Amino acid sequence: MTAATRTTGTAEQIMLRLSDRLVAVERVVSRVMVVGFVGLITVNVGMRYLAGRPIVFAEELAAIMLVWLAFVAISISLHDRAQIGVTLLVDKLPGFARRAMEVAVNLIIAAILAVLLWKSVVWVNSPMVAFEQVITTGWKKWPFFLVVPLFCITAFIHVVAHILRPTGEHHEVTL
Amino acid sequence: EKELRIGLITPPPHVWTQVANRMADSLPDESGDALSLAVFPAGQLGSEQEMFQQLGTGLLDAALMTGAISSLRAPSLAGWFTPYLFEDVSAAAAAAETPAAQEMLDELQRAGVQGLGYTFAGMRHILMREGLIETPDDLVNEKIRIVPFPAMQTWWQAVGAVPTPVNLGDVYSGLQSGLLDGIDIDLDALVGLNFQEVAGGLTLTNHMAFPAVLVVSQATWSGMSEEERAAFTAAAEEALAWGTEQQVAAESANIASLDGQIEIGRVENGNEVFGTANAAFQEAYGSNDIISRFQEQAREAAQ
Amino acid sequence: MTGLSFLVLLGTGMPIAFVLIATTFVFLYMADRLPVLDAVPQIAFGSVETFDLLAIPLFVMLGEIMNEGGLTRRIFRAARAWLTRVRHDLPLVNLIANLALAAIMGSATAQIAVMSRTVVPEMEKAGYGRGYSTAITAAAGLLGPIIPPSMILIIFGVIAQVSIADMFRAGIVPGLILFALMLGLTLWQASRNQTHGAATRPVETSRIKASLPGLATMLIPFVIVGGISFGVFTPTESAAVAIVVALILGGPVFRDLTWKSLPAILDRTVQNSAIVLFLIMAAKVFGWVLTFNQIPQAVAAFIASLTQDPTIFMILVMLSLVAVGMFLDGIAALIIMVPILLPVATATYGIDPVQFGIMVSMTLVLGLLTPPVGAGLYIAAAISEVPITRLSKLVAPYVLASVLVIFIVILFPWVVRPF
Ligand code: NA
Ligand code: NA
Repeated sequence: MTAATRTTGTAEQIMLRLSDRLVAVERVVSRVMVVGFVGLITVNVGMRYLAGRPIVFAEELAAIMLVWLAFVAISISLHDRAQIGVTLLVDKLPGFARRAMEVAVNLIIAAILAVLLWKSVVWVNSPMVAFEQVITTGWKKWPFFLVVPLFCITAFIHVVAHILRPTGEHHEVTL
Repeated sequence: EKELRIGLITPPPHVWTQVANRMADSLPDESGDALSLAVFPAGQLGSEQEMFQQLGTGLLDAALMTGAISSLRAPSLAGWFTPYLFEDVSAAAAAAETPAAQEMLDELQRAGVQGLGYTFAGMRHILMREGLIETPDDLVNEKIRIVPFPAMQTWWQAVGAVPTPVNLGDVYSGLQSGLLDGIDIDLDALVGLNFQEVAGGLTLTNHMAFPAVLVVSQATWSGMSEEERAAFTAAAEEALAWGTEQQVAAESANIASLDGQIEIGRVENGNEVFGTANAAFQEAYGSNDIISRFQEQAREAAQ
Repeated sequence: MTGLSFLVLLGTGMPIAFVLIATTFVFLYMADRLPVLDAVPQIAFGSVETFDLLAIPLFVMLGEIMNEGGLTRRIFRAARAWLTRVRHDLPLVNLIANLALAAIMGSATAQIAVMSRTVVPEMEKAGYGRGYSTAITAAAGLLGPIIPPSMILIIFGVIAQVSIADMFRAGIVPGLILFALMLGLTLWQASRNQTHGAATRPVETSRIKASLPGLATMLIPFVIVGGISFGVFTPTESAAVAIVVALILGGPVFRDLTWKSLPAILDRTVQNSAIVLFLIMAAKVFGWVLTFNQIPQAVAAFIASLTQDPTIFMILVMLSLVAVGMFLDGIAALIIMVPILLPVATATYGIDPVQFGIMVSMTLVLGLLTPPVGAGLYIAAAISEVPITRLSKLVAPYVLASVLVIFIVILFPWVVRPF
């Protein structure tokens, strides 16, 4: 069974479908971010030399876009299992043990993400954060911080999907 | 024994870091070994914005923050950047004793921190790749590296320059190559980073002061006994005053060390020469009650 | 206990970034300091909120466009057109094309992947052994992260708060020395191998016609190195401008790039950036918690008690990093180790952070070619179908050449600040 043929509605399949749909959205967001900051930086260089007036907020805004890209990209890479680990020992294990190890690892990761979600919700709502602003524009900064709890949710969904995913069905992405 | 943590963004040799080290030296004695202080310089615990958040949650106990970033938490602190309010560092230090300066520290409480006092970096001057500054016309459309926070931005935009954000570490090559036409800088940083090697003219404009604020986390403060607070305050006041003294001495020593290495000029009546920019600052910040009281009291203190 | 949990989790194959975060949790639990976890989201956000780090996705993307737009292939062809009459032209072309590519691309793996595909088959056709050809190609990939631009140097600059332009300039001379050593080694090996190495047939097209696209492509390193050296751009900006130039060359000029290839380029950029950015984030969280609890200070005191001599200190660091690099990815190792080692190097031994950075980066990059875990070995072996054990032996002389250059960096610091 592949993602495309997965149509029935058991809880586990809903989770897998959710993960796949979510990652499609995340890919679009990530592409927009990359194009966005390449554009922003290039325009800023142009403004500096052609118009003699750089965009004062360009660097600060581009750095925030990088943070957004980072969190979205990490979530995608968790879906794609593209993060690097040392698999030297695990590769030597027999199939069932390897699968058990994989489930155990993903359970730990899911637990970490749950704790981070809790901590990041507390953080975004803390009174201290209300003072934060984008220095060059004066915008409130907390909306930008929302990417952290959002990431924890999407990453959690991808990781849980890996736990539920039937043995043998892999998302080996060869990019 | 309680170990407290103090964070700052300045590197180890900077006067402000030495102020923190001095506090760390004297605090055990002052408190009868009840308190000690670990110093985390050079932004080891994060940017100033991040340290403010850590102070708010009580993770970090104290910090020596720039007035620049602190003014984002307590807007009245922007009053310190009133152009041409102070003749020199000693005048700024005198203004730190005014009631309005204390009101500014009190305003920091809404950000979850207790403001204990001020110390100072050198006055701000203008270093250009080429030539001296006589009037703001010399700065129109020039790319100037400034500390990017609202009060300084307001003034520089009104001057007509192009404020250009560049990391302090990249300023040397930026001046060398012409990415920057000039910088807004204090003499300690100028001498410390050898910018005189890549710039032609230093104009002593004295246009702004640059204070640091010593803040303590409210959580830490309320967890201290009366005696501990008294000991901490005593250690802090002694170190802050010492830092200011160092800075006053450094100002003339720095000018002397630059003599002959670079063309040096002065803008004598900057109050008038930069009148338009000064007015722009006043328009943006003068309506704040604490700031207007501060300006008045600082002028009285100077007489 | 904390160290043990790190090793155990590493062994489970857990992504390294999560190993670091999990170890942070264990550490705080053991130290009875769990409230410090409150700071984690803030530190994670702040860790990548740096304009200089934007250079990472940008240089990754530039590499992708170079390959997808056929620009890499054109550099190879141009170099080849001029050397057809020379004995052992192909090994030379391989190295020279790698040098040119190194001035554009920021990582060794991307460079090894594309060159293994392009050059190794050509060398085999001309009669060179596949093992020999693959070894040169994998080894020449080491030039990528040393000659600017370079991801690992960007990351070092950000962590160490050293100007990235300074780091880039510092890589040039050691990179060229390494290139010269590799050139000598390659030719010596080729000359011992009597059966091969006659000059290959001239390519059909004329030299001018073959080299024009290659020359046009060399606009890109000119934009990057020239732009940074003359201060026209910051390193980050130079990458963005180079991307625009590469898009124009690959698209309207050479017509290899179409709108359809863009999504794939962007997705690969995102994926490769995700790995590095996650490592940076996790290492920052880990490092912050260690610093908060004054662990690096304790490590520093311990190391300082071992030796007073900066040179011996650097050699000790180098040897331990060679061992670390055998198992751990270089960038991961860099962002874990530098916050601990750098303060010792600068404050205790008075070592120039730029020199230290080049030494550490070159050493960790070597890990790409050392077994048992080496991405460079794996990629080259997979593409060329040479067994990894054999390839490891074949690249060994080049690894030694690189070690020699690292010793030069340690003993003669002026090579990192030649101008
Ligand atoms: Na490179
Ligand atoms: Na290795």
